[in-house]
Amino acid sequence: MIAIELYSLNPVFGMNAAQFLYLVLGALTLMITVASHLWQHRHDLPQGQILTWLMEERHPERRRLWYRIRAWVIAPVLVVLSIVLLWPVVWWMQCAELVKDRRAARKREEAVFKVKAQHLLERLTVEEIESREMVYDPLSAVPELPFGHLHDVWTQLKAAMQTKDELWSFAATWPGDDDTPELRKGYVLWHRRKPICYILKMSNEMDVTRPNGSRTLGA
Amino acid sequence: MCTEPLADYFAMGGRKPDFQFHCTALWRGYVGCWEILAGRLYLVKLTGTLMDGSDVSLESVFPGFPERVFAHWYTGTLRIPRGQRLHYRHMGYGSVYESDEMLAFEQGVIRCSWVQHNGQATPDVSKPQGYTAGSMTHFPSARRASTRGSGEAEQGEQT
Repeated sequence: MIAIELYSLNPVFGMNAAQFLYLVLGALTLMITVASHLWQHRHDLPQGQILTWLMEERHPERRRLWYRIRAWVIAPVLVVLSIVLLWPVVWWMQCAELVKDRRAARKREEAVFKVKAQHLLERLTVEEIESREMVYDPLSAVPELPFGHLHDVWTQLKAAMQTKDELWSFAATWPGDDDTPELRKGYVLWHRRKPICYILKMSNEMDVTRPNGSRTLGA
Repeated sequence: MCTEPLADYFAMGGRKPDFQFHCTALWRGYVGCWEILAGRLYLVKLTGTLMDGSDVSLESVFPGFPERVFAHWYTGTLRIPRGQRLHYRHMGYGSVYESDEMLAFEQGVIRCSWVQHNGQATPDVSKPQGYTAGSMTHFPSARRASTRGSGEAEQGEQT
């Protein structure tokens, strides 16, 4: 129906209906893009001003009239024309961005460290763990409690413990920052084959290689 | 030094106050001063500013321990650059120096040490030795005046 009505407008400003419809969709895309940009950056104004000021201090040519005409008139006009004329590209870019964001979110979710069944080493009691993890320092620079300065984390883990929950020691390698493998050791609260929470006693990057001639020191 | 043992403490669930960021060479908002005594690693000083404007001290993170804190949580290798800078990389701890002293710790106790030689710089006494933060951009904060510059990517911890 719309198409029939549009054909009846033919010619509009020397365009046929299909060309007119293409430009209307381009204008709609432009409006959506501008509204979306303003909404996403609605809180950015103070930082944006600081950045503009910093850039102008570092590059004084940005204060010149010709630079400002290019930045505030020519560039926006070119962007507007590009969006109106090449709006299918804009939508394609938006879709690609959405797919990329979803993949990144999935990757972030996978990157959160989780203790798995294959990481478990030994089932232990609270008393056994507390006896193993007592920290002592000759200069009294640590509370003489299980896990020392991290005793609060241990207290929280114990508070989360319920009947039938199990405590296990674990060791796992995990990709850390920049995918450098890390060895993580600690204790996990385990319930029906699932981890509830855990405490780390060690997290160590594994890429630092010690040469043969290194000096071994006494503890 | 170019390692941050206190970051491990925070990652392990240790108490982390809200540090104020005001400098591009110090995104984390604090500088720790570390000491190795009788083969054990101690945090002996902590400086910076908290979000409420107060100064950071050891007790901000470790209440009841104002003088020194045994870093029993730390297992890893400390890297301490020595000599002149051979190659500048504008990224936290990315620059290469003539040598790196490496100290491997296990739960706060030193296990071994070695020196990694990276090359020799042209002798120049005017150039600073060891890790330094060149210059940086400071942002205004509640308690600090604004000064400006540009430069090195990350302020290291002090040993």
